[in-house]
Amino acid sequence: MMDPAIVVDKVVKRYVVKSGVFRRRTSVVEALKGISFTVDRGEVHALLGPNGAGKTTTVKILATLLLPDSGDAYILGHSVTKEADTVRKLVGVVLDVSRGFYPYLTGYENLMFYALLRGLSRREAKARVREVLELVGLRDAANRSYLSYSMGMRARLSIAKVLIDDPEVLLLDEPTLGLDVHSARFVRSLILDLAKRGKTILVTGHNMFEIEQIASKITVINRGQVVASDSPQSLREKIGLVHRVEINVHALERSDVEPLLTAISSRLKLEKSSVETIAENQYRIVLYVAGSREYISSNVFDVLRTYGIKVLDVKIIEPTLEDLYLALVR
Amino acid sequence: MWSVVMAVLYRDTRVLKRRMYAMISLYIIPIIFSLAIVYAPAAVTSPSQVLQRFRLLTNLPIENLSELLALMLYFSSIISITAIGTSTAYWVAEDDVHEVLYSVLKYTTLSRYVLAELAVAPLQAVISTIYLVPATIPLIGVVKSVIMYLTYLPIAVVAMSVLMIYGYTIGLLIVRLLRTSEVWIVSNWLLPLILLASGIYIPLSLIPAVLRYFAYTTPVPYIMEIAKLVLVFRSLSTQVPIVLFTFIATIYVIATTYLARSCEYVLKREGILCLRRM
Repeated sequence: MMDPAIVVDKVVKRYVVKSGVFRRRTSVVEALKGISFTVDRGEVHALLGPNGAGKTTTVKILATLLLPDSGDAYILGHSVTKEADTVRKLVGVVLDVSRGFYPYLTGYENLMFYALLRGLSRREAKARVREVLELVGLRDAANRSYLSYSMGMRARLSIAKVLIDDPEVLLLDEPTLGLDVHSARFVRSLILDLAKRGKTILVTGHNMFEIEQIASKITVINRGQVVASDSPQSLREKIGLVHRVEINVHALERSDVEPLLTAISSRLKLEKSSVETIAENQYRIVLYVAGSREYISSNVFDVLRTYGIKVLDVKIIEPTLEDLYLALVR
Repeated sequence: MWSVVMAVLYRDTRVLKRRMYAMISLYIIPIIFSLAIVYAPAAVTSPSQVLQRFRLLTNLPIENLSELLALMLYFSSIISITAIGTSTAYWVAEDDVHEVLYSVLKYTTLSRYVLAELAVAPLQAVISTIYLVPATIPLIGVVKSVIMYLTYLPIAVVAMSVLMIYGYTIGLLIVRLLRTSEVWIVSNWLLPLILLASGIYIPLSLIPAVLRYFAYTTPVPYIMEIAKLVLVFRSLSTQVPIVLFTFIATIYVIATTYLARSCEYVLKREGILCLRRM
């Protein structure tokens, strides 16, 4: 098995905040309290947590832009504290999509600056910049001033900047923050596209719908500590969030449905159940069940087969990532 | 290092191209100062008295009012050079306003980046002084104007480079000691003080001792002395404080390199690289 692309090992970070007229008063904010997690190669890994949880601090430490107080982190086996120069060549970081560019230069010129800074020759830089602009769909707007760019275009340019290096690991801090639906969708598909090309991507965010679409694994941090780290499905099972099961059946009387409900409740531990009338001779059994999807489906279908009742529809609705997130950081 | 220099040069030439109108306003100010300094006293006394006073104050063998005005234009241009060269705000603006520094530090160190900024010094020097040629043609003629400018250009290039290092040293010192991003406040105080104690218009012997001592820590009085000797006497005698000037410039470079390293560490340690208000 390959080593993980990112290893965060017991990282502690404290900020000393100075206040008062002469800045003599100091207080310590513990941003990270010894967090540890790993990100496998080629994985889109989401770092979730409420505001102030320590997500951006973690990203900055991984990008070598911030030094941890203790602990260490490794990118493709290289320490971010001891081999910062090597790590910088391996990672691309997007910290704030609306920052990091010269407003009076065009998108093309801004990227040329970074390409030359990276050490590409002028010819190589021109070719690479055109390539990444094409990739993020900004070719037509390349010669427009950065000032005239919309937020969505700025986000794309931020990703283009990162891609100049063709880094193996991408660190994206809330890349769709403040973007309209169209731009956010474009960025999401870009992230998935990059993952298909073998990039390891660590992305932070608040939009659960979005994270659910792109991330194969999530780490939830709260108040500087890792609360959970696994795939969304495994986390759901571990936490045992309740599934909502809807069974639509055809029956002459409501009382015909009751034995079915009793049979199911004898096999599954129901948190709550009810029967609703949805049309003439059509009823919906609603069950709230704790357990894995497989466990629920096998038991429900076993009972349905035994009873021989006419089933119109069966839905097993999984708890959303949002439910999961709220359960973890509550 | 070469790639950093190339990148900075590319960026600055593009910025200059787009911000030329703002730069031009900086060049016009010294021209107005020069006209006022020569013609205001001449209006209340007489041109001959003004010439006599200038000869007395500066010990310069000036023959006529046009020559004096051309000379004052050149001396005043040091204001532009100082204003641009010491604009510590330039790199601070990058960090604080545009916040590109965190992206830049992915590729290089702060000390290399700051020193690479010097690559643009010769270009800045030419752009900020080239107006002197057309401005002095009506006063001393085409040939003299061109010769005077070509004599002056090396001084302008060296002056711009040293003033830029000086500006970065002060800017980094402020960030390092005060751990603040508000370098603008200090640099706004610094520029008038540097100009007051520059010896451009008021001889250093006439200014208060405190300012005089401050003046000698800045490169401007040395630049002025060298400019005076080259432009007026057209010679570099042993009296020229070149050794001292080189010594001071070397100290600036060492200090800048050390401070940049130290600042980078502080910025990373305290997390104020991108979160300026932490």
